[in-house]
Amino acid sequence: MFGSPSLARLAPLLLLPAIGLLLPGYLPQYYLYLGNVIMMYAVLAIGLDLLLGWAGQFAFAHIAFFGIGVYGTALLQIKLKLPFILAMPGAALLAGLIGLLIAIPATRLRAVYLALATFAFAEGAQWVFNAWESMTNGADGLRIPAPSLFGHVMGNDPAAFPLVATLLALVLAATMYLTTSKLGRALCAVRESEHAAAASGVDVRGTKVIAFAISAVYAGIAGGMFTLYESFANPEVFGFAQIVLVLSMIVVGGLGSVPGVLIGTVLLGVLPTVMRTTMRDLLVWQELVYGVILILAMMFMPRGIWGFIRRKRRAVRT
Amino acid sequence: MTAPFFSLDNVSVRFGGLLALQRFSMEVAKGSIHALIGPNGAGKSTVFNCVSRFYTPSEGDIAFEGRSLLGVPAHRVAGLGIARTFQNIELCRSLTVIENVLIGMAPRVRGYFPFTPGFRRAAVERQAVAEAEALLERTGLAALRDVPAEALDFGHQKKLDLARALASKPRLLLLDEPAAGLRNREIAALDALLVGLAREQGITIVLVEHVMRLVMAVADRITVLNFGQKIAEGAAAEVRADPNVIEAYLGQGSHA
Amino acid sequence: MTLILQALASGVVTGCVYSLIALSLVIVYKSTDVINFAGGEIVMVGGYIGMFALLFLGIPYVLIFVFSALATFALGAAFDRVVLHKVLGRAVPGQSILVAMVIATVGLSYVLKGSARLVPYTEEVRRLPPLFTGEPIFLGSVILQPQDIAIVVIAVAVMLALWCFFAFTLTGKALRATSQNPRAAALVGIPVRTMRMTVWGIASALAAIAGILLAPKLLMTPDMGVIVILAFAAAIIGGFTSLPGCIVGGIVLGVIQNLVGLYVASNAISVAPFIVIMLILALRPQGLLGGRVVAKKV
Repeated sequence: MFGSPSLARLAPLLLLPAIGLLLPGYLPQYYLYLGNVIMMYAVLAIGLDLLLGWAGQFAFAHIAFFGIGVYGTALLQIKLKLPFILAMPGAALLAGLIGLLIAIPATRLRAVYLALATFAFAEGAQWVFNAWESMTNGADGLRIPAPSLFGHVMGNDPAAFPLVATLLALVLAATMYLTTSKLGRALCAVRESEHAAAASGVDVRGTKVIAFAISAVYAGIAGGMFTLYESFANPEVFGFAQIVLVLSMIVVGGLGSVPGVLIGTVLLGVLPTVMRTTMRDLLVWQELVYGVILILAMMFMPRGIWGFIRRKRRAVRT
Repeated sequence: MTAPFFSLDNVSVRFGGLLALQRFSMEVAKGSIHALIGPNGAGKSTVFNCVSRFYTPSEGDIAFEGRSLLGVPAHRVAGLGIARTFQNIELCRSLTVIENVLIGMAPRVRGYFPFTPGFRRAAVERQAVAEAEALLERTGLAALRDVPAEALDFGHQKKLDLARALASKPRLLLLDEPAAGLRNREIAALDALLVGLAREQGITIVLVEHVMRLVMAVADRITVLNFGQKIAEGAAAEVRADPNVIEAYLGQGSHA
Repeated sequence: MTLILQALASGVVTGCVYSLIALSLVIVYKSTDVINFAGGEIVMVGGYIGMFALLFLGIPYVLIFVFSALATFALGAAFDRVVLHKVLGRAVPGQSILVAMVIATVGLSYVLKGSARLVPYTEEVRRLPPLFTGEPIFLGSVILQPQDIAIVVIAVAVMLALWCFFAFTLTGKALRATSQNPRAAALVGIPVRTMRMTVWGIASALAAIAGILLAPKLLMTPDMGVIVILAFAAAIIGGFTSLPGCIVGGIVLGVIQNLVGLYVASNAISVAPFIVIMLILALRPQGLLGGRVVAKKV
């Protein structure tokens, strides 16, 4: 967690935009949709992991910022006629700003209270998305305009795929820089021991606030990615079930580790789809199977898949 | 008259109805090793926690190098040149030895914003790592560089706590029970280390300690606390013979 | 004036049920530091079991409470023994395993919801017949259904029984000891593992009783569990670590909901609990009756 990511470690990320450009020619639309969804969730999950796994702050307002990202990107294009390339960063920055504002009172709270307060904020945000009909069109859903970049129009899965992949690559690169930096170490220090961190010169409160803001920006970016391939935004998407899904992804994958989160995202992102196709007549079993998987995962790999792999590796070494 | 290097001046700390420190004063000379002793619950760690700015005294002042610490937030204390270790060895358990040391170096590593790939950032990190590795060499932890702190044995964890504190190149080092749980040979090594830090590197050391052997061997001056109040102060021989001190440790009716 | 009194009265009625669910959440939290995300689903399951007992097993209404409570007690205890015990066993000293346990409760909530959906009977939205039917009762100008009175009476009886249990029985005292200091409790010979199971069992039974009380008022569906959010709000208002606080918090929340519906807007009722949660946590995190939040000693 120190040093700068070398070119050797950054180079593989170039595969993503490359795959993004190649695959749409070969894969059917449904798999491209799945790919888009998983890549978007990857950004969302890493953002939550930075706050939960790295900084150790159990805050669940994340989905609210995702919503701000989605509605923000769409509305900036609709109302202010901004092109996507400005709308998405704008929405992400807005999400970050609100994250900052929430963080200031929230970081005064301890564990359980922080969790419940941020959760209440997320539910409150969902209510706002529903109730502020003049902006969001409420429960009827907001039609997302097809974004275009340099003349290339998106709004459907194959067209969006390359850009979604590229955005993911950029986010991963930024994450690599973040986690190996002084700030990355500060996040861990705050998580492990606030006293040692403070005595070592880390501004604990400030670091927590920054973690909130950065996490919110990630969620905002994920929201922007969502608008690339989805055509409707519905408040339903920004609710409790979504928070639980993203949380499960990072816990099952492995809190505090980027590879772990990516594994968790792919697994739990793909799982509902796999279940839908293999258990076509047994849709009603879906929730049950999902619940059993979560329980089994926690019973046998409570530190997540990556935590399990890391422990096995260490055992082999000694 | 020059201001003392480090001093507490009539500091009182209250927790609800309990007075943990009562008008406590102490002066520490630059480059010396000063011990703070007293029975359990006397308030010794409270003193350190005030200096670290985890607690705020209800009265009194704490001054370091001529400026008051009371207005300084906890995270700026390290940057001023004061570092400390903890009684409970507060380490970042899942991080490796070198990462813990790097965290200790935080006040000296430039830059906070990570999204700037650039030669300067890489160079700063490289230099930080090099310094950290040098420190690990000096404290005998080099072989454990990439071991997570939670996997270390107790003695090495204490060394790491110390290395973390030294990483910020402090001019004042507060050690909270550095000898607790150490074996005799390790205590002798600690003795030599502390003397080396003070005499050769000019680091002023204040240690809270129960292990009298170490205190008597290294301390230039000893302050004794009991029930939040200073009951004795002076060189080792004076304090050892002081009846108040004997009574505090052994109870009434005891004599040397 | 009548409207306010009516709002107060029906607020107290629904509030009592929230209190029961809040108690269920808080006794688990106090004993094990785990937030039980399956709390709402246990309410739902308890309600369905009660309905099953009444309509298919022919058990008299008064006894379905006992039946459902026993069944869910076993369910909760089994979950703790089989799942949580195993998760806890993998904890490494110095690192918290709480997140994993909370995710396990999330898993439980999906298992319960999924299982409920599997039973064809639940496909249709059902309503449990009320315990008492009959003429509405008039308390001054306030109108109450006999069922409402029954809800309050039963809820209060359960809370009293719980209080007696904790205060006077050996097991109850052992439970309190375990929740305050597990290591000391183990040292004096209290079987901590059994205590945890008992806590989960009691919490589940409380949720089940709340489910049967709620069922006639709400429509029964496998998604009923979302009511748990209101229970969280109730617990926070009262002070998340205070049992009497749950009771106070539940009633306060019930009343607030009705007052908001009366004076603000009916679509604001659903967001009111969240605003209350945020306000309380911002201004007074310990709630009305919770103790001071203690900092860790260095």
